[in-house]
Amino acid sequence: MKLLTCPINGTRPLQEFTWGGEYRVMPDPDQVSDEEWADYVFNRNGAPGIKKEWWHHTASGIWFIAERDTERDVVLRTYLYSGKDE
Amino acid sequence: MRQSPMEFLLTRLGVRFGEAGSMRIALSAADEKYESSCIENLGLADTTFLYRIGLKGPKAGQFLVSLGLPVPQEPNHWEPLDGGGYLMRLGMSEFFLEDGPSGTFVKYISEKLGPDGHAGVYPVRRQDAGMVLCGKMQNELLAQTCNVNFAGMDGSDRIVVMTSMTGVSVVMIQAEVNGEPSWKIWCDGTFGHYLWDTLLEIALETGGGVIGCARLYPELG
Amino acid sequence: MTDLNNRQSVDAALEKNRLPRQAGEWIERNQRVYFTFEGKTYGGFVGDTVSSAIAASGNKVMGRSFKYHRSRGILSLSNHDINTMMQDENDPTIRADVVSAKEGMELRSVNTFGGLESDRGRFLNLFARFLPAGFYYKTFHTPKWLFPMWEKVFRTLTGLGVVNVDSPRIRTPKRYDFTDVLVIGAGPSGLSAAIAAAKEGAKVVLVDENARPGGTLTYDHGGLDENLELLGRLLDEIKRNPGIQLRPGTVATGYYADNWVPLVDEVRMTKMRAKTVIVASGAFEQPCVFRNNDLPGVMLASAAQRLVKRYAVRPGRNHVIVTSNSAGYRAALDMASSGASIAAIVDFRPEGEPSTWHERAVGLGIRILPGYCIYEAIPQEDKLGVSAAIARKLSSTGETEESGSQTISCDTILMAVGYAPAANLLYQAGTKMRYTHETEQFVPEALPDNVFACGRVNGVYTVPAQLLDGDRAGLAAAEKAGCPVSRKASAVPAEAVSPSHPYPVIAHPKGKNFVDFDEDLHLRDFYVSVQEAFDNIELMKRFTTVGMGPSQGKHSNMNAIRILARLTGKSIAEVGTTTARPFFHPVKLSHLAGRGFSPERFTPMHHRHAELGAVFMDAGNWKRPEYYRCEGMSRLETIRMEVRNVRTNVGMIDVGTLGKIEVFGPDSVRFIERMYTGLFAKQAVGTTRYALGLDESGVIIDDGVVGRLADEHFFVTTTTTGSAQVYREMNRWALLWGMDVGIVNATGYMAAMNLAGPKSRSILAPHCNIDISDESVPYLALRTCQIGEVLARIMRVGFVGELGYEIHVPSENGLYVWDLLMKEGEKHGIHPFGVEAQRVLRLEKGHIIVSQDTDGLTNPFDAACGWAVKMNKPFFIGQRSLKIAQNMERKQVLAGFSLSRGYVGELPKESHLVIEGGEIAGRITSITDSEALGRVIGLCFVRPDMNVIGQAIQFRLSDGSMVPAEIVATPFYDPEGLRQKVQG
Repeated sequence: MKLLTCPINGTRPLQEFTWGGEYRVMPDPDQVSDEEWADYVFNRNGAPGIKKEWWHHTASGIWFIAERDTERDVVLRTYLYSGKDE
Repeated sequence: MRQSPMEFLLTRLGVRFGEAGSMRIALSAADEKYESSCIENLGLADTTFLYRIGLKGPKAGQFLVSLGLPVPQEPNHWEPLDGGGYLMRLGMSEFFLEDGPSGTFVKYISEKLGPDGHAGVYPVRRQDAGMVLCGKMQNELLAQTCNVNFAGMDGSDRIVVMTSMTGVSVVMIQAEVNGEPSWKIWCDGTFGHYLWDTLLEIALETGGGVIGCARLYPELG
Repeated sequence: MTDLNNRQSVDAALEKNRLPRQAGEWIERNQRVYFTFEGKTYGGFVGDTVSSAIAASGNKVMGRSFKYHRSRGILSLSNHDINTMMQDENDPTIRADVVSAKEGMELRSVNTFGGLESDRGRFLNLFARFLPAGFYYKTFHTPKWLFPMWEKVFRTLTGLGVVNVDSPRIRTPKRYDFTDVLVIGAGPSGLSAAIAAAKEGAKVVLVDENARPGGTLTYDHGGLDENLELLGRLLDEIKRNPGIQLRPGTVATGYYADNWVPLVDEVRMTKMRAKTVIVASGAFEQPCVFRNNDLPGVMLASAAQRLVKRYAVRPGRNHVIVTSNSAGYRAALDMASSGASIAAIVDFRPEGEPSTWHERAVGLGIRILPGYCIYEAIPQEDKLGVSAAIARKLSSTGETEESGSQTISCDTILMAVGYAPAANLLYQAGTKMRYTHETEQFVPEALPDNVFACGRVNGVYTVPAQLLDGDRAGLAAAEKAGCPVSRKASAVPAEAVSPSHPYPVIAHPKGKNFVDFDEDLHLRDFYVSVQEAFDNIELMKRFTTVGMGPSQGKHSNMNAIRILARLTGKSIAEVGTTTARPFFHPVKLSHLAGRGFSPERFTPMHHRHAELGAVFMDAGNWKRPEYYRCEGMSRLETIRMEVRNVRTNVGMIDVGTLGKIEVFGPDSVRFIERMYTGLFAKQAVGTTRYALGLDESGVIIDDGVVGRLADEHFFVTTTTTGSAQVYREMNRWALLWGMDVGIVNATGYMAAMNLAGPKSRSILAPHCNIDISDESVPYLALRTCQIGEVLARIMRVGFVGELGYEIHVPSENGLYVWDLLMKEGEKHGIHPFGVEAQRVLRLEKGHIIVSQDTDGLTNPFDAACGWAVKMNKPFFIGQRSLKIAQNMERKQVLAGFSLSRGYVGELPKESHLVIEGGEIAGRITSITDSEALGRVIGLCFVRPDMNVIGQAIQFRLSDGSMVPAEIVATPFYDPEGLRQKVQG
C-alpha cells in the first residue's frame, strides 16, 4: 500500500486518506461562457504528468494539496492550501 | 443520565458497576484475579465517564492561554492538566480537553464559551468513547489494529496521534495512567461499541481483558 | 505397549536410508514422529520434512504427475516439489518437501486414482502423443457440443487436492510491523547484509523461508567443513546483535508500493513496512532437460545435498552427476563424503571444471566425462526409479552424437546445470533486469530507490564474493534508511566461470524430456507452440501453460525462455520474461482472510431498539431499525401498524444517523448561502429551512434542514449517507473561499429522535422546560430547551406529515431521553417506528429521498424542487450549471402517480419502467400501498409532456404485463398541511 505524507500528521498509509480530485481554480461564473463553464465542470486532463490534487486525512479532517507525478507514480510534495495558487 | 456506548457490553461481562460523572462505570472486572493479570499483560478500560470538550477556530489557542491553560505550542501535541486531565492540540487550530476524575476545566470552559462560542472560538461538544489500554502486550494489540509505527515513541514526547484503528478514526496519546505507561484512545462514541468489542476480542486472545476504572483511578474505588 | 514394540521393530526399516549424524543436521534424533502416507506408516525425527522422512525409508515415489500420472519423487526439496504435494483431512496443499513431519499426520497423495502405487491414471502416459500442448483448445472444441463432456473428464483427471468444505474455520490474526531494513533471504549474502546494516545502527528484520537460516551454507560443502564454520560465525554475530531480528520459516510473498512486504509464516501474515529492502533471495537451481528426467531418483544436485546435510538421508547409493558448473563437483564430493559411490560426473563443458573442485574429485578417483551430457535416464522395470543413465558426447554445435554413447548404471542422477534468479520480488518492485552471458542469467540492471539486491539473485555465486556483496548492499540500505554510514564497501569480484549453462536441453526423438514438471510439458510441446505461431513468451506461456502450475515456473520458466530463444533465433534478452505477480508463493486463504475490520456504527439507543424487537438494516455503516417485530404480525402488517400509529396516535423514530453539522463564525451566513440553494440571509434565529445541496454540475447530492441558533451559529442536518461527504466538502469549500467559519461535525455527538403524531405534544410537554404550544413553537421552529435535565434542541419538522418534534440531545444522554419519552408515551399508546414506516409516511407527503428519487443526473428542476432554488442569489454551488440547464429541454421530471383505487394484482416495484407508445418514458422511484389514502401511490420519472395531472400512464412489470396508473398532484396526503395544526 502506498504511503502519503500529510503536512500535519506525517506519513501514513493511503488507506487513511480520501482523494479529493484535481485542484482547479473555479472561473468567475459571471464572466465565463457556457462552454467554458462546462469545460471546467466536466473535463479533466488524464495525460500522465505532474498533477496537483486534493487529499483529505480522514482521522484529523485535514485537507492538503499533493503534487503527484502520475507518469512515475511518485508524490513530489504535499502542503497545506494557503489560499493562493502556488 | 449519561451513558457509555460500552455499558451494554460491560453489563454482559458482569463487571462491578459504580457511578462517576453521572454515568454507570465499571469499577472492577468480574474476576478480580484475572483483572490483576490483565493490568500486567493487556488491560482495556472504559473511561468514557470523564468529561470532555473541544474548541475550534483561529482564536481557540489564544482563548485557552487567556484562561491560563498550558497550550501545546506544536500541532498534534498534548500537555497534562491538573487533576489528571489532558489538553491536546489537534492539528493547527483545534483543541481537545479531557478532565481527570476530579478536574473541573471542562465545566469552566463550557460556561465561558456559552452555547454559541465567541468570534474565532467555537465549542465542540465532544461525546467520544474513551478507553485506556495498558499492560506489556499493548503494542501487540496496536500492531494488529493500527498501521502506524509507534516504535520510538515513549510518551515523553507527548505526541497526539490521529489515525485509524480497526478502521475507526481515533485520537490517541501515550501517557502514564496511575503510574503505568498506557495508551489513551478516543473515538466517536457511535463507533465505541465496535472498537471496544474488536479490541477486547483481540485482548482476550492475547491473554488480556477488561479492567475496571478503580484500577486506574483508585480514588473511585 | 504392543503398538510401541511394533513401532520399535519397524524403526530400523523406516531408517534404511538414514545416514549417521551429519554436522549441522536439522533433525532431533532423540525425538521420533510417526505418520502415515497412503495408509503406510512412516517414521522420522523432529525436524524432518515429510519428504525427507519418506526418503529415509528408501521410498522414492511420493506423488503422481498432473497430466500423465507418472510417478514422481523429490526434485528440489526447497518448496517447489509440486509433484509431491499431499493432502490431509483439511489441507489440500501440503508441500511435502518443506512441511515438517508431525506425529499422527494422515497424508494422501493428491491427483491419483486408486492410490499412489497402482494409479490407474498412469495409462495416460501411453497416450501422451494425443495430449500435446494446446490440446484443450484444439481437440476438445471440435465438435463444440462435446466439450462439456471432455471438460468433465479432464477436470477429474487433472487438478490437485480435494477441498474439504467442512474444514474447521481458521482465522489467523494479521499484524503490522515496521523496520528500517528488511533482508529477504538468510543465505551468505543476506546474513552478511543484515550484519553490515545493523552495525551501522539500522533496525533489521531478516527473513528466510527455510526452517533454519544459512541458505547454501547449510548444505553446499564440497565435502569440507568451511561453510558450516562460516555459518556458525555469522549466526553468532547475528545473535549478539540486538538490532537484528531473525525470522526463519517466513516467506516474503510479494512486494507492494513503498516497501510494503507481506511476510507469511505458519501462523500469520505480517504486513511489513520497511524503509529499505534487501533482496537476497538466491536462485532456483534449474533442471537439465533429458528423456525421463522426471523419474524418481533424478533430482537437482542441491536437493540431494539438502537431503544429506539437513536430514542425513542418502538420496541413493550410486550417483551420476550431470553438470556444467562447480556446484556439480561439490555435490559429488558431498555425496562421496556421505559414503555413496559416484558412478560418474558428466560435464557439459569440453574443458571441464577449472577450479580446485576438479582436483578433489579426481583425487577421489571419480570418473569424469567432459563434453558429455545425459541423453536419457533408463527406468527400472517397475518405472519407479532409475537403473542407468545414457551419456552422449556433445558436438561443437551442442548436438548429441550417437557414437561413443555410454550406459552408466546408477540409481540416482543429480542435475547441476545452472540457476534462475529468484527475482520475483525484484520484478514486482519494478527492477529493470538484464541478461548477461557472464553468468548466463538475468541480473538487476536498475533497481528502484530503497530496494537492493545481493548474492545469487544479483549474479554472485562464490561465497567470499557473496559476503562482500551482502556487505555492500547492507551498507547502502542502512544509509538509505537514514543511518550515517561509517565506512565504504569493498569491490565485489566478478564470477570467473558462469554457474549456468546457456542451453541444458537435450532433444530426444521419443520425448518425455520434461521442461515443466508441474504441468507435464516436454520439449516437443514447445516446438508445437512455435509451429502454431505462439512464439512470444507471453503467448507461449498461455498456449503451453508453462509456469502456470503451483510452482509458478520456478524451475521451468528459464528453460522455456532458453528453448523459445533457440527456436525463434532470438537472444534471451529479446525473448524476455513473463510478468512476476504477487503472490510469489501461494498463501493460505486463512492467512489472507485474517481478521477483517468492518466498523459498525450504533446510535446510543441501539440496544434498546434490540430489546424492543428491532430488525436492523444497514445504512452506510450504521445499523438502523427497519421495523420493530410484533408477535403474530407479518413484516408488512407491522410496518402498516407503525404507520397507522403515527398518523392517528404517536410514534417515535431514532434519527440519530442523520448528519449534523454546526457552522459558527462571522462568515457563517455567507457560507450557508453558498453551500445551499435556498435563502438563509434573512432566516430568523429560532427557525429552520429546507436545505438542498448540489454539486458543481447542478445535480442534487444532499438535503436536510438549516436551523439558525444564533446570528452566527447554524445547525445543519444532512442525509444519513451523505453526512461524512458533506462535512468534508464544507471544509474544503471554506478553505477555498477563505471564509472565517468554524465547522463542527456533530453527527456522532448528538442523538436524535423524531417524536411524531397528533399526540406528540402531549408527550413532550410535561418533560420540556419551555412552552411548546403551536404559538410558541410553530411549524419549522427551532428551540433550545431542557428535556428532563438534558440540554436539547427541538425542531418542528414535517417530514412524515404529522405534528412532530425532532429532538437532538448529546449522545451520552440519548438513551435517557428516549426512555423518558417512551415511558411518558405509554399512556398515549406510543410505538417506535422504523425506517420502512418512515419511507411510507414521507412518500404520502410526496417528500423525496435523495439518491432514491434522484440519481446522478437529477437537478432540482427534474426533481420538481425548483421552489427550493433561489436563482437570483449571488452564488451557490451548482448555480452556474443550473443557469444553463434551466434553458435546456427537460428529459424527465419527477411526478406523483396513483394506481386506481381497488387495484388488485402484483404491485409494480421501484425501477419498473413507464412505457408510452412502446417506448421507455420513465421509471418508478418510490411506491407504496398507502393505507391512509386507500390506494397505491408513488413517485416516478416521466417525460415532461406527460406530467399533467390526470394523465394516464402505464408501468411494465418484470413479466411484461402492463399496469395502468395516472399522474396525480403531490403531496398525496394532507396537501394543505392541516395536520401540523392539530391540538394533540
